[in-house]
Amino acid sequence: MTSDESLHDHRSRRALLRGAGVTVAAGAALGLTACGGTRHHHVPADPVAARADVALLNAAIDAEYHAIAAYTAGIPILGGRQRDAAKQFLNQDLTHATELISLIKKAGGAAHDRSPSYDLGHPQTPAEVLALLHGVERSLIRTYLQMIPRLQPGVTRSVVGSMLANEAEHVSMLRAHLGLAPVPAAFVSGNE
Amino acid sequence: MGAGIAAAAIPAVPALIAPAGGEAATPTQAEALAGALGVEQLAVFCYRHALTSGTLGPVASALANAFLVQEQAHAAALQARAGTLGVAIPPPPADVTEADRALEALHVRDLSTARTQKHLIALLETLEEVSEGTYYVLLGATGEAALLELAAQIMGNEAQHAMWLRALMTPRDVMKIVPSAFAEGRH
Repeated sequence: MTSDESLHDHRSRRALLRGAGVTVAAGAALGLTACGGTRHHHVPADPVAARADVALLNAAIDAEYHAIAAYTAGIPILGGRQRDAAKQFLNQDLTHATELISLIKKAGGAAHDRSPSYDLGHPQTPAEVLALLHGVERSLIRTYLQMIPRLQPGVTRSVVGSMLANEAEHVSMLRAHLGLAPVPAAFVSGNE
Repeated sequence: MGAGIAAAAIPAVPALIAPAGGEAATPTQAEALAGALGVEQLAVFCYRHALTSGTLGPVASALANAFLVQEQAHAAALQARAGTLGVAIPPPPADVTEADRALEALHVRDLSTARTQKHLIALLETLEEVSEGTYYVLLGATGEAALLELAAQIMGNEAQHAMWLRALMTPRDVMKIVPSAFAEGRH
């Protein structure tokens, strides 16, 4: 399979994901399954590289599950535009998790399950929820930045890069809602 | 300026854009890096032009000023990597005519006809999406670890720029401001 075919497969599947929509319900948030994509399976030729990719992608899915749990718990405390943004970001992180599950399956691995619980602290106010979400999104960016140089197939790096860029959008919007400078650095690091 | 100079300004960019009805060929690392740098230089030119046009309001000007500084930082970092990797550095556009030719190659509207804040912001937002797309391509085209990390860091920042420019155009609508889980831009 060529890289172009693989890229086309990613685009088609993501178009389906967008079209189908992803529910915000907590049950769906915590019960993800891989979708579609059975026609073209891109498996790295090097099985050692594939195993390494699976480990990296599973680290990312762990971080996405954490973020999904944080949004699911925090959204009821938010209101107005903050709530609207958080719902949108939850949907997008759910989509990332679904994509990661698919990438892991294509690399010949098994995706991690969600943890039974996550330590989210005890946010009580909108500001505390936003701070929690800011923290988990920054952690996601650091995870993606660490893994991208170590992933093998170029198309996987590109797709993961596009998810990192979406997390950077989330962080920027959350910073604005927290009253922080929304775009403080020319190079996204996950420390801002 | 002649067409030859304009074409040389971003020699790799056309390779990153899919022709009508077809997929773009996968570029080499050198082509993808030169393409990303060419778009950064074009963005610097366009932000400067917008800021000196006198048509941006205070909020748009503040954003454009901040983003210009960051685009300059991106261009400098990419030039340093290009030098290390022996990749030829494309010259930036010298004037609006050259910039318009480069924008046309990227399927972005002309700078010379964007005379209102609305049009300038739309142009800059589209150009930011093109820039995101060059990094999406570069991430697939290179295996060089330092360049991969740099490209990913800049791609995230370009996505933030595009997001806030969309927020200027469609405030209060998060579905349009952050529309996709995959901020891959135009490529």
